[in-house]
Amino acid sequence: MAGAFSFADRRGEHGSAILESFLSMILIGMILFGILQLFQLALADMVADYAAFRGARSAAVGFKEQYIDRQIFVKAAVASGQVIAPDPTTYPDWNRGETEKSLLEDYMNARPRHIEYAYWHGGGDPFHWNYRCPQYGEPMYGDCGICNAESIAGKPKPKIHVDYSGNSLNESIWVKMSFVNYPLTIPLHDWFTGEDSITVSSERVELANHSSAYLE
Amino acid sequence: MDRHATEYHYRRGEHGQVLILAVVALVLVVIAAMLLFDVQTVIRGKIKGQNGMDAAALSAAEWQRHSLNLIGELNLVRATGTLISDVHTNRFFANAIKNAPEESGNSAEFFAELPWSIPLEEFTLFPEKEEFYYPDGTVNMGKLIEEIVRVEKEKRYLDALNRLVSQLQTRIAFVGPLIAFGAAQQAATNNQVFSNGDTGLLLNEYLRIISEDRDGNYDGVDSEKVNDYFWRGPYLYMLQSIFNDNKGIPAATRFNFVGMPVFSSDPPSPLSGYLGNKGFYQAIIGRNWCELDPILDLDLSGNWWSDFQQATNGDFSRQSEILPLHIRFSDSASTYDNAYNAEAFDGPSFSDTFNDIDPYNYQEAMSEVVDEQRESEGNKRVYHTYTTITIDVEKLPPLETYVDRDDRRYDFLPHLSWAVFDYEWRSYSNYQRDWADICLEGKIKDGMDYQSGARAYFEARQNIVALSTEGSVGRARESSFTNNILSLAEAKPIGRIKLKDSNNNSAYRPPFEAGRMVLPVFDGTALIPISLEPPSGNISMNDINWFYYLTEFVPLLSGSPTLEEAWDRARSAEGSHWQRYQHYYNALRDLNNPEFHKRGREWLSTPTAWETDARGNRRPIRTRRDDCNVQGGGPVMATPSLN
Repeated sequence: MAGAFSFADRRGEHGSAILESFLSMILIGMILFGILQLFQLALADMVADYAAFRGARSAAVGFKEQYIDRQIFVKAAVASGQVIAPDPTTYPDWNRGETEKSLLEDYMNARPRHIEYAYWHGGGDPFHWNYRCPQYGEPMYGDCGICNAESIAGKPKPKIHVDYSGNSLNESIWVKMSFVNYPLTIPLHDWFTGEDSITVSSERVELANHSSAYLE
Repeated sequence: MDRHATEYHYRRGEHGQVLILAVVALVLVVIAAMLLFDVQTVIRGKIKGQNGMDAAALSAAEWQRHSLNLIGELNLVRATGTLISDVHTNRFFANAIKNAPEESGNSAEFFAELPWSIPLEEFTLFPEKEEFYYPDGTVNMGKLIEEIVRVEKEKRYLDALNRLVSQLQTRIAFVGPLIAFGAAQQAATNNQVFSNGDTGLLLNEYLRIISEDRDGNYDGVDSEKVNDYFWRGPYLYMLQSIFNDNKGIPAATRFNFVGMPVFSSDPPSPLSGYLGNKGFYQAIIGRNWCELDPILDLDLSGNWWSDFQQATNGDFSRQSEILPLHIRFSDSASTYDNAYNAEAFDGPSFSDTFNDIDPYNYQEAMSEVVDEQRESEGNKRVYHTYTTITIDVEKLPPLETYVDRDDRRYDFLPHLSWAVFDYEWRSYSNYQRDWADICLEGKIKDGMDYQSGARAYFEARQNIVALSTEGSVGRARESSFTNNILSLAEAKPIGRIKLKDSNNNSAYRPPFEAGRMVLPVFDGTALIPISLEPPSGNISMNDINWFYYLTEFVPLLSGSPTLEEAWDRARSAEGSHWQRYQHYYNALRDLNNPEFHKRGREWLSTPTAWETDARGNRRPIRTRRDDCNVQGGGPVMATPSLN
């Protein structure tokens, strides 16, 4: 019988299709996740470059370092993880776009309505702590325990680090920002890196210092 | 069935298993790539936009600087021209006639009938003094009249010079800012910031207003001619050329212009100013309850807008309304006197200002002339008397037709009209000083703590075309990134001048403190924080929607008992742009809704901090209203982008 013959003939191939599919899926999955992970890092890299540029621009017109930090943090918000304070689940009328935008504006304007992203900790802006941590007064939103922790759930805590050089006497200023311990969130990332996080740094952005014309 | 056919048949059901996965993966990768591409496009657009506006602001400020320095140079030319003329003689005659008896007739008669001898010390100012006396000591009237005619001619020459200088200064005040504006467009284009259509629409409206008003409707101003300069034709032509050359206006600025809508209320109402205040509408649209707090308790259910009258701005600034230098012309004697007394014309002052790199070589010569004058005159208030007599150069009659003492024969000093800094140039307010102390790294240099009247503010609104859909861009689009990118920058000419104060101490002072006279002391340009010196213009060239709202809808409000009726009339009007300003109308509707007020009050009274007493009871100690007004960690300030 042709069919029986055929079946018998292919008995040794049992499971090969599954195996082939499985191997193919793994291969495609690795390629897919690898590409997505690269995309995520490329996004963080672009955002870091832009944040550093805007920080340098603020420095060029003479803003103090804490405001330069603030500028950089806000411009890096898009690649800074989830909002952790105020807690969006408890915030009235939370609208991801509008509320975040409004809170970021208040943060820039140094109003007490505070916003905090998961990867923001660090930097030299004492304003970050004013409304989060008991040692600086009454906490206004959320939990403060996360502020000073070096690691969260056994993983190194992500943070933003800013390098800045220049003052009103310099003809130029430069800014470089880094996402330190930037989490790799795409599955299978540790197959390639063996790490859960990585440091993503901007270019060193150097601009002419305009404030030297009018500041001492 | 042969074996191969059977095998093919058997495996046919497995076809596509991996393919499905590959397609899914491919779709994911494509979506991710599109997202990445969009974010990259937006970031690139933002960086290009910022660089473009920085370049535009700096280019424009540079041309503003050149324009101010040129106007200052011409003030010096005016002063120099007067100083090297025979003003000693003029002054003598002016003084003599000023003290003459009322009944004196023409010049010859006047001098013939002088009841007193002309004091010898006055005559010491005459280089040819002996010619005016006979050997017996009496006055040689023939020579004297000859001299009077000569002096009159000299004065006419000086008047013409001053008039010409004023015309040149006015020309620069029109043309210079427009060159600045054109240079800014070029700089923006070079940085690949291109025009959006809206900017051109508002500029076209402006050109229409300027070109149509040929009936002299501007308050107190010749609509065709300012200081003998026929401004309108060149002004329109230059603006049109800038528009055409750049295919629009990539770098928009804010400005006030003749013909723009203005609002008033008499008596002033609690809502005075709100109707024409765009920030008010933005606060409503953005539910910015902190900003709206003062009006949330007002009853706005009626037609509260009936208090307002709308008019059009009739003040023409007598100079370019785009990137204006904010100068004016002053006949005041104190202009020269104050500058002179503060030693603003002295060479060392200029040299210090320019850090010994002095591009104005004549300044030392100028200083020598002043010193020489002072020495020979023995009285540095050389020009004091000329302002006591007002001269209308336009109506000068021929010399022979002089008939009475009020005419020009008694007025021997030239008419001087200095280009001075307008009051837009002023020292920083306390708020600005506080802001600078808190926000800026370092102290403002001596003499730099002033608000410049010439500021180059620019903004670009770019529309970025996104590949991904609204949903798939997701987070990035929602929070920080939009495909409508706004970039802002502001720059200004930098200058100060070393002056002596009443204690004879030299110090750097703002340029307008030299009697407010414009002098060529601007030696650089720099970007400045926008929040420190916000742009003075009320309307942005990018904001045609707001302009349409003010000119099409708001006028209809005054005759309408309800918002809805005004809106119906606006929609049915021919050529109406109602789609462009519907959001402002919606904001007014929100304002009229009591629920809106209630929601705002509730939001403001929501607690934000509590304290716990000994019994464990929590009670609120702060509300959002408190947070609106309390500083935390830094100043409450308007730094929308820390630009």
